[in-house]
Amino acid sequence: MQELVLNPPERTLADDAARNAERTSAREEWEARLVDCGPLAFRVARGVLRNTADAEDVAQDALLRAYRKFKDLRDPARFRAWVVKISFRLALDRWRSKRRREQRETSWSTPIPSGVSYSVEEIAASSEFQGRLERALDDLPEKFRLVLILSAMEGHTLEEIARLVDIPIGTVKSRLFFARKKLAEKLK
Amino acid sequence: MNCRVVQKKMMHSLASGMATVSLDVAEHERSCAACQAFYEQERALFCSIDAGLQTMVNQPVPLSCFVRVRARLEEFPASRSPWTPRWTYAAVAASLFLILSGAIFRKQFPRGDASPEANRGVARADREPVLEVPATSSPTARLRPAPVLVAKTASIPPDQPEGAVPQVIVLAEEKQAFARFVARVPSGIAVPSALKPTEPQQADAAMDIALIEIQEVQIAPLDSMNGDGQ
Repeated sequence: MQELVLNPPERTLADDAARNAERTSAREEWEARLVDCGPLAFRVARGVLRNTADAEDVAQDALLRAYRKFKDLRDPARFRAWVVKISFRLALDRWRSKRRREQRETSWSTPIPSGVSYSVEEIAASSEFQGRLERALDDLPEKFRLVLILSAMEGHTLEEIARLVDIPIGTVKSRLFFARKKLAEKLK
Repeated sequence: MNCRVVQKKMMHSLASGMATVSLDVAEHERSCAACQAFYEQERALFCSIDAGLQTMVNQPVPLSCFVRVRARLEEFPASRSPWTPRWTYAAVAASLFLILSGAIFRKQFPRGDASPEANRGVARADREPVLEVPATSSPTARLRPAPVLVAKTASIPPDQPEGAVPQVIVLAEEKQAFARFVARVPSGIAVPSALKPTEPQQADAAMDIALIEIQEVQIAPLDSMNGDGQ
């Protein structure tokens, strides 16, 4: 009498090795992207929030979100732009909630200069002008703010900004012009 | 050239990040001290803005940031996606809808009422009469439908056997015990009517209605009226 036995597909050593190699290469690729885009995400968040601890949190969230959705990204070459957008959006969300919280708190207590706690270095570096600049930057529209932050970052040309924000270079120039002009008008 | 126009052009060139101004503006600037001061002032302002923005943005990235990202990645590896698939939301919504609709259905039709076939024969005189419009085919009748009021009361059809009516099954021993109990109850004590054996219902006897018979009517003239007239 013949017996039928269902054998599960055998996992060969070669399959395991291939899988491990694939995992390792994916991890290495991610590590490279983390080193490349991590500072960018942090600086974008820092430009919006102007607080190192908050910017760090936002950069972490943005990078983790990008990592989880990395498979959904059609064009991996646009990873940098993607990270910038995620980081900027998350930073704006946090900045808005923080501002609402501050407004709520200040309405019940005596007004304080700022709800943000700065480190000793930051207090030393900050000046009256810096405070005014930050307030003026907060009043700028989002599209102007992102372009201005990216242009202030080291080593970003107009072409790179256009690629990161996904807009024509002419639009970058005009946005930069209006942003700087508005800032100057507010700071006079 | 007017100083106001020159200052506007200076502002424009500085805001757009141009290092130099146009030739005509530069020429005016050399000759006009006020415009020269304005240009220096504006240039200092824009330099301060750039420096302030660079200080704000180009902060050193803390090393802990990447360490934490790596640690959090270890907690949630890529293979185990923390996001639930989209179809799970639809499945949850569908199951909730089913549960809710089932609950509503049960509330409206309780278990005893669930099968109308089982309750055939139970009179429901408390039901509201239903206004039924008879279906007609003629166009005039369609314009003015004659409503007919029909009281929908379910009753035992005469041709249906008695066994079709749902009854409570009582064992023969229980029936005998109940009869013995009723017989033992003294006659002086008021026995609830529910405990007394039911008498067979007598059909209502036909009642004869006698017609009123009126005798012959006689109309006679009044005497007093005849005397007055004479």
